[in-house]
Parts: sequence; structure tokens; C-alpha cells
Amino acid sequence: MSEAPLLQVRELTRDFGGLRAVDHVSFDVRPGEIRAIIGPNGAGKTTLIRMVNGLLPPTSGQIVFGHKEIVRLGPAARCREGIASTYQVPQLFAAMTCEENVIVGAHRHFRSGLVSACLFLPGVSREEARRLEKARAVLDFLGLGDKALDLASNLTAGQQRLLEMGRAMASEPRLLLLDEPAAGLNSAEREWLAQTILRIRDRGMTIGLIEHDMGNVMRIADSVLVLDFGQAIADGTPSQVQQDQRVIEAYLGVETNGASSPGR
Amino acid sequence: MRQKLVRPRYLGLVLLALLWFLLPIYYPSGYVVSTAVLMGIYAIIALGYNIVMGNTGIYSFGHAAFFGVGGYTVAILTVNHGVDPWLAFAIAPFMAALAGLLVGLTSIRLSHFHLAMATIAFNVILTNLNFNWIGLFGSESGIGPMGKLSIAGLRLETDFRYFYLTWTFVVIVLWVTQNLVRSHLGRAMAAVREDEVAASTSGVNVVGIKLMAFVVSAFLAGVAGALLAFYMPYVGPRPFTVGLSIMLFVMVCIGGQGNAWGSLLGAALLTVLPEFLRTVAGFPAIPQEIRMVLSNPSYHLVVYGLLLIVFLTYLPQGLVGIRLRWWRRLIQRQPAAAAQPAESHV
Repeated sequence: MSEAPLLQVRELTRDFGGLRAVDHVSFDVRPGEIRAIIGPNGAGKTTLIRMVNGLLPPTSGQIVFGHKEIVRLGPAARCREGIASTYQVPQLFAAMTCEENVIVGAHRHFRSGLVSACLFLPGVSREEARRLEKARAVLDFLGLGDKALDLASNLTAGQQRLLEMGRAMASEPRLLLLDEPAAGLNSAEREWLAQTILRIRDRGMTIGLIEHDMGNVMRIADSVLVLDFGQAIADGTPSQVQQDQRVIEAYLGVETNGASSPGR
Repeated sequence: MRQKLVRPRYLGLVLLALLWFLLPIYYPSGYVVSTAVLMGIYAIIALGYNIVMGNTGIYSFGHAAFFGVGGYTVAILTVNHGVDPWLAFAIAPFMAALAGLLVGLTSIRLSHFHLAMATIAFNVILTNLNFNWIGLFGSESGIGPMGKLSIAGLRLETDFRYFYLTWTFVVIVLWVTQNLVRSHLGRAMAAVREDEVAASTSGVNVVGIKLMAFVVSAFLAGVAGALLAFYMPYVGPRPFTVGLSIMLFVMVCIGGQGNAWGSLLGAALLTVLPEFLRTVAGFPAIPQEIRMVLSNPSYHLVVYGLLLIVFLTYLPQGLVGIRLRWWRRLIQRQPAAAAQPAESHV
């Protein structure tokens, strides 16, 4: 607990026109933990993650990663700092092979420049071989080893999710952000996914896990932040959060006076 | 099992290249070789343009302008300032790359459609300056007479010799572009083409990679421009109009976007096409009206347009797509369920 947080988000706010999608949200992510962010649809989870990985500039607030203020950095620069992410709907490089998809994830580790690449100087092929080997290892780790040379567009939906995680892992990030990785998977696939996320954590990566559904998250998360209407309504261990009155209301749509509202 | 030194598919290619390099011996001068020289020059620009359009997915329609910057740099330096021909030849690609950088800096952040418009505008401005603004860069008739390049005292003044210079450059450019495309930078370009958002969060500087593609291809267009300048007696604005920019687009499209061999093929076909059409027009069976269209170069754009429509509709992967499809069918594993392992995760 005394360890310095890897990611510190302070008073992060984002407005879309008159709508406040994320409202002064603050939280920490400690190194080595699985940090879940949950909330009903439209709670602002994806908006929040897009502000952390740099795709969306916040209206106000601070993000400190490591010991560095990163709020002004673009997505590529944040990846170079060590933040990698996946998307709700996998965004793969469809016309490229699985192997190539994963190696693109390792882009930040390549050192050779334009001229040496064009002239194929000796260092280039060494670097390439090293990264290829690592990419293969990532694919094996995810059980996609036999798909290395298949086009990404030929994978099933579940495999595409895994491949996208592989691409993110290839950058060897300090923080891996997963946006609803279980969406659209069946229960067996969800179980396998949960095991995989635990195995990734055991490799030393810190994981930010965004989920709509409480079920699996509660078993694997170390701590949970709950969002509702853009505000952080609870933050703690899974069991603490599950007993929180406001969380139960947000999820079950129970009003404080006990009457249920069918809308949410 | 004994490993073969040269894989059969490369053997065919090497033989073809050897035959090609023997061409000037059968036709030491005249129409065939001069067409082959032009083919080589177009091949170089097409290979460069393919990096921008095929690999990175940027639709620029002003590439002939960089070709022109290369040509004019050579002409101005050698004719007006008496610079050594080879030195001018070496400077030209860098001037073209600089022009590419400037155009890129102003337009690379635009969306597809707007970038296409901006690059067309750039091309039109640059060529029209030379057509109409008498005094700037030698007006419509051009700058000249151009000197000739020479290697070890051998003046490259015949088509025969120039053929070898040009095609040596084609081979070098082919090698360089293939190296680039297969490197991490080439993959980053492809990633940008496929999905800019995912590329950016994978650590690819999207604007930087696009600019790089733009500058590299402008550099190669500059090489081609320098080659053209020393091949012609005068350097005027005619070869560098938007018409050529569009022709480059057609070359890469019908050859196969993102494939270097496709670009070569496309450049070769479009260089020969006018000749082919003229020959077809010569057949007695061709009606008078069609003959008019086929033999008049200004109607050739109609043919390019038709080709483009046919290819984009039925063969979006271009001519190499035919081969790739056939190849894939040969090597791809059967998609039958039996091929799957009994236990499969996700």
C-alpha cells in the first residue's frame, strides 16, 4: 500500500457540448494490480479510458503516469511512456497477419532509422529477428501460435480480442488498459479470458480493466472503481464495492426509497 | 532434404530481368529502347508513389510536381549555373524531398478528400507557373539545351546507354522500397493505412509516419525527374502536369496497391498502352470513329478512366491480385473443421 501509484488521475473532467461525460473523477492505480473500472452503460468508462490513453483530451484535470504529467501527450507518446490499450470493438490491422499486428505493437522498441531500414543495414535484420521472436512468444502465450501467418480479418471475434491484447502486450507496457474485453464472449471464453488476464498480471503488468458486467470482474480485480453518470460513486475492494448501497442502486435501478425504476 | 539455392519463383524473375537487360542489344536505338527508358523512369515514380498511396493509404494527386522539382533542379543548376551534372543529379532528389516535406507539412493532417484537393492544387500551381509565367523557369519551351551525364568518360547520350543507367536505378529503387516496406517503418505505414487510431495507441506517430512516406516518395520522384531531365533536350513543364499524377494513380491501382511488383507492372503497361492503342487503331476492321479515339492521345484518358473503373470494381487488388489469389489458394490450409484441434481456446 505504501508503494507509489503507477497512475494518478486527479479531478478528470470531460464535457461533450452540454453533457458532462466524466465529472471530476480521481483514482490511483498501484503497480501490479488489476484495477477494474465498472459502471452501467453510459457511465463514462470509455471516455475515461480514452483520456488516459491519449485519444481524447480532457476538459480539465491531471494525469500523472510514473512521475510524469502526461495530460498533454498524444496517444503515441503515451504508448512510448508505457500505456497500451485495447478497444471495445477490436481495432486490428485487418489486411495484416497476426504476427505483423503484434509486431506493430512493439513499434516503440525499434531503434533503426529510415536510412538503415532502406539500405537494410545489418542491425535492422537483427532487431527484426529479435522482435519477431518476441511476437511469436506473445502469440503462443495467448494460444494463437498457429494463427501467426493468418490475416487478422480471418480470426473469430474471440481470437481478434486476444490478438488485440497481444498487440498491446508487445509494447511491453507498464499499464495495460482493456476496454470491455469480455463483451460478446460466451461463458467458456470469459473464463479463459479471466485466466489470461491473471497470467498477464503475473508477468508483472499492471492492468486497467473496464467492464460493464460485474460478474467476472469481482473475482479477478484487486480493486474496483465504480462510475455512474460520469461520477465516481465507489472505490475499494470488490467485496466493499459490492456491498455499497449506491452501487447496488446504480446497477439494479433501486431508488433510495425502495421503488424500482424500470428505465435503468 | 537438400535446400535449393534459388527458389523457383525467384529464378523466373531473375531470368526475366536478364532478358530485359538484353533488350537494348536487339534494339540498340529507336522507339523500343526509348519507350523502355521512359518506362523505367515512370517505374521509379510509381514505386515511390506506391509507398504513399498503396502502403500508407494517402491519396495524393500532386506527385508529378515532385517529379518536376527534380527535373527543374537539374536543368536550372546545370544550364543556368553550370553545376556539374552528377552533382546536380545528386541534389535533385533532396530538393524534391524538401518540396515533399513542405507540401506534407501543410496538407498531411487533412482528410483524404481534402488532401487530394490540396495536392492537385499544388501540382497545378507549380506547372502553371512554368507554362504561363514567362521568365520564371524558362517558360513553356523549357530550359536547355540539357547537357549529358557521363560515366568514366562515357557520355550517356544514346538510348542504349541511358537504358542501362535508368534500369540500374529501377533495380536500386525496387530494392530500397522493398527494404523500407518490410521494415518496422513500413509496417507502421501499413498500420496507419489500416487504422490510424489503433496505430497511434500502438506507439506509431501517425503524422510523422505519413510525412516520412510523403518525403521518401517525393525523393524518389526527384530521382526520376533528374533521370528524365538528362534524357531530354529541354526541360519544360509538359511532363509534370496533373495528368501524370492521375496516371500514377492509375498505374498503382491496376498494378496492385501496396505491391512494388504491381507498381512496376502498372508503370510498364501504361507506358506501352498508347502504343498498343495506336496499333489497334491501325487494324482495318476498326470503325473510323473508334480509330479516331484510339489514335488521339488526348482521348487516351478515356481509356485510363475505363481501366480504372473496371479495376476498382472487379479487381481492387490489381493485376498482382490475380496471382496472389491463386497463390493463396495453393498454400492456404483447408478451412475444414477437421483441421482444428479438438480443444480450442476462445
